[in-house]
Amino acid sequence: MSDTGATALDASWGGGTSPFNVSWQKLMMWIFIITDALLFAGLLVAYGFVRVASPSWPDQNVAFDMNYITMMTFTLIASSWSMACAVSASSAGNKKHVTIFLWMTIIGGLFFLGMQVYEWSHFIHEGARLTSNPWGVQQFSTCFFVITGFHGMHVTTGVIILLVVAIRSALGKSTATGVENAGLYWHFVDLVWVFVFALFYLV
Amino acid sequence: MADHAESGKTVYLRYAKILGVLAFLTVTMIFIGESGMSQGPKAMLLLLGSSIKATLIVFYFMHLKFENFGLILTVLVGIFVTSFLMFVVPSYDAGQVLLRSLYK
Repeated sequence: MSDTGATALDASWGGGTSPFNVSWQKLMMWIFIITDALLFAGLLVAYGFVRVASPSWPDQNVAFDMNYITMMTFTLIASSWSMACAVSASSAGNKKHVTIFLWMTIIGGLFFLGMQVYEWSHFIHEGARLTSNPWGVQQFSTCFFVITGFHGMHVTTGVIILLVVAIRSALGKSTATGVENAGLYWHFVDLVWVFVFALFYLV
Repeated sequence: MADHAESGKTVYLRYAKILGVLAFLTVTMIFIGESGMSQGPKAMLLLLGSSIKATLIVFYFMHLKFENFGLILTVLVGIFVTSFLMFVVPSYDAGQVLLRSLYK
């Protein structure tokens, strides 16, 4: 390697510098997101195998209220918008806007969770269990509870993180990086729902 | 971030436009889902729609577009592996449906 090449390599990888030009917290968040995406991809691929292997599958329009699910989807997408605005406001140092947009996102998240609780209770009330359901295909309810349950758990975690960030922000303790990392996680939760909605409710 | 210099309202409006595109894609996907199309091609179209939505979220809402090229490349490798996993099963199903329709 030439001297110039070695110098350039040392400048990036010699320690004490960030080759990606981002904070370590943000880099770790991205790595976490990639690994978590693989986890959800595994779940959805497993669901795909089950769908292909099953001779029949219940009609989603019969099992779910699609207008309701669409509303859930729009709620999550809208909360992603408010989160993106909160991150922008935070990097611009506009504390008032950060607080407003963070709380809008939290309310969106809580609204989504409330709707999911109602959907689950309705589904259970109709006789669906983890290993059985009235629609005849056992794996249908298993996939439903595991995939939406896992996603719901992520939304719950996201809401808790946002609450902590909002409180810290109100106290003047939160940094722009903190808000940005919380935002990355929240957008990821929305991203996962995009695929869950398409593959589980629409196919 | 690149949007530091822009005014708050401009940035919020830009995000609102992305939100509009996401909403439009969602409605289009619902129409595709409700159509009488066979399962394989429908799954492929819905996955394509989801991938476009995911790209918009990752590049604009998550600001990946404005990050260091090394980070973009690292994340893209992860996205590629994830997408590959998610496309394999539906494409197999779509291929089966296509072959059946060709040799009917």
